[in-house]
Amino acid sequence: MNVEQTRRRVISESNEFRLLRRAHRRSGVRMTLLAVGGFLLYVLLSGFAPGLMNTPLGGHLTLGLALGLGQFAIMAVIARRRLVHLRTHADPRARGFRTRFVRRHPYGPDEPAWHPDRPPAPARRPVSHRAGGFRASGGFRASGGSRTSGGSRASGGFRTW
Amino acid sequence: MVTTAVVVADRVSLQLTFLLFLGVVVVTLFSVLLTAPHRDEIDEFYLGNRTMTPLRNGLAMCGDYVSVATLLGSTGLVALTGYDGLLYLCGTAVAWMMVLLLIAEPLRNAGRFTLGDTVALRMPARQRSVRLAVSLCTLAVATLYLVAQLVGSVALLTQFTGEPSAATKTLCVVVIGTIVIVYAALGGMPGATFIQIVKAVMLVAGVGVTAVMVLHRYHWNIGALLTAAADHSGMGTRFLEPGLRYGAGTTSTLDFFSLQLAIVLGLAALPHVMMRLLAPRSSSVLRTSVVWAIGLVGFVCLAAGVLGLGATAVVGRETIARTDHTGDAAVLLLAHALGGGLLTALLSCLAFVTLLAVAAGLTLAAASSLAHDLYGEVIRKGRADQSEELLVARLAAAVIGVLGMLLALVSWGANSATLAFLAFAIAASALLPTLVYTLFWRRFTATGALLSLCGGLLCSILLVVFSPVVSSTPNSLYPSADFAWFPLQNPGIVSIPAGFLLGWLGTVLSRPEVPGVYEDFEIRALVGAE
Repeated sequence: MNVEQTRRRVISESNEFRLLRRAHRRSGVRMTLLAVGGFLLYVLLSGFAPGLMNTPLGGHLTLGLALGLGQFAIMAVIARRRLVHLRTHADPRARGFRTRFVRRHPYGPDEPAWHPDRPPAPARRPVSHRAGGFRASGGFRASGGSRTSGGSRASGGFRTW
Repeated sequence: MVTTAVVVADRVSLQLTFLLFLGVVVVTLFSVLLTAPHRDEIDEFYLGNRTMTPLRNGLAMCGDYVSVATLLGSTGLVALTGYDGLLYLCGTAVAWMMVLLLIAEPLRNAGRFTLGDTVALRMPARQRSVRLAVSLCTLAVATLYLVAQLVGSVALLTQFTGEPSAATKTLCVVVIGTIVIVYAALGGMPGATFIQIVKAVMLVAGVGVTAVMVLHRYHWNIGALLTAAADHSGMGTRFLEPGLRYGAGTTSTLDFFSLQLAIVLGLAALPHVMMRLLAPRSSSVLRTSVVWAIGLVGFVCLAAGVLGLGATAVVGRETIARTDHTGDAAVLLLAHALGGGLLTALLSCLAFVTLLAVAAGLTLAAASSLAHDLYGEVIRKGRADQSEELLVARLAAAVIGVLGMLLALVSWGANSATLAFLAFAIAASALLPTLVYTLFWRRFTATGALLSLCGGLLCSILLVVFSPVVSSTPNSLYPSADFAWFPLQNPGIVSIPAGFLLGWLGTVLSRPEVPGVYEDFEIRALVGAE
């Protein structure tokens, strides 16, 4: 196991990363169950309990039609909540990881001192410059120019800069 | 298909449609040639312009997703079956939720050009066989869906000319197919994106304006619209209650549930939608784009519901069913009643452009998978250079287009909607399990991937072969034969769990992959790039 792999293991088992994973997964799974499961339940109810769905709510509007319109409202609410959730719980953590990776770059990959749960060392360069530089580098994805084959990318994994 | 030769539109609107369509095709063809990738770089050919705004990306996603089956087919179902038709439209919109909540961001962060790339990251040692299987499933889904679009073009032509002669049908398929090949092979992703955006803008504007006209006619009173629809449906309040289409007993209700399952789960695994998700340069742009797409698709579905109800209210269910028993004519009949020849021509042009755009996206997705996964990584083992792979991608687009045309020419009897639903079912039972396991299951192995890909594909195809779609009913492909032991027309309810189960089984029975690979993958998928 080389240094690069150890470093990845440390990141992946760190508390901070666990929180990031949970911020994405837990709410994602719950909201999907609510949206998709709720819709499938609605389809089943329409199929097997038509009497219930035909309960009139005034005029020609029945419970079934209202629930159908309600699906669109639920979708809008869930999408909104997901955006807010990711913005407050996931994005700052992901940004933190990215910033620390970028800051680590000058020291080289085999620097042992850094740990994701520990607060980062003071920045060497001004914040604004660092953020700009990172965005221009294109981040994790190999962009443009040289072609990296799937194989080498697969084994190389987490190293773009 | 069309039973009687009742023609929706008169001669003038046919000519107008033809002129409009020709105009759109000429303009888009020129733009495609202008925006086509000039350098021999596969990034540009596969992903297109990666700096587009979220709104444009959202429009392109909406364009990729809403096919002519939704625009004419689902709207027609609303007109014919009321409540059950509205359920279709609901499912079409809900399907995007899973993309937003689970799939989109990790897929973009970890992916590159195709699903094969993403899966290969997880199982580097056996990536060739997995890529081969992914490529096979992608090809199956894309070709079926492409044939559905081409068959749909003939059904659309029938609305104008009555039952066309064999020569006219062939001409129609060949012309549409050739335009699609030119878009995909020359334009690549930049070209496809341009058409998708043009189409999405036309779509949103077209259905929006027509829905406003319907609502205006009923003084913006939904209750009045529902009353008029129920009155002109010939079946009173039954029209607004569940069960008109799928109420003939437990089997048909389960069939409907099976279909909805495939629609809701299949979207995330459709190859052309997946490619579109990989294009944005940052995950925040992707997130906003998907939300735009949800809003646009939701709007189109709501408007299509109004159009369907409006068609019954204005034209009457009897006339719609007499013109075309699948209901495909509903929108055009409504347009003729509301806005005369001009609106009919606009909406039929929109339908043709919709068809063209979806077909171009599909051809491109299948060609990318063939060139990148099959040729680049399996045959040439990653040694192909960019211009070589690009050439293969262009050739593959032509081959797939021709294949689609040939299949469309031999499958006249097939219903466009049935083919599309089979494509959704295969996507949900073969590609989705692999995608979900790849993104979220640490233990997932190559054996599991192979088993779920091939098993899901075979399972869904076999179930359809032994279903009433192929034999035993008067509407089947072979009405005289009877080997339909599977009672449902839609295989999803069995084949989707089967795909997931096979993936689990294959994984549990095989040795784990190299340790550390998933950690890499997960960091990449969650942290991503700005």
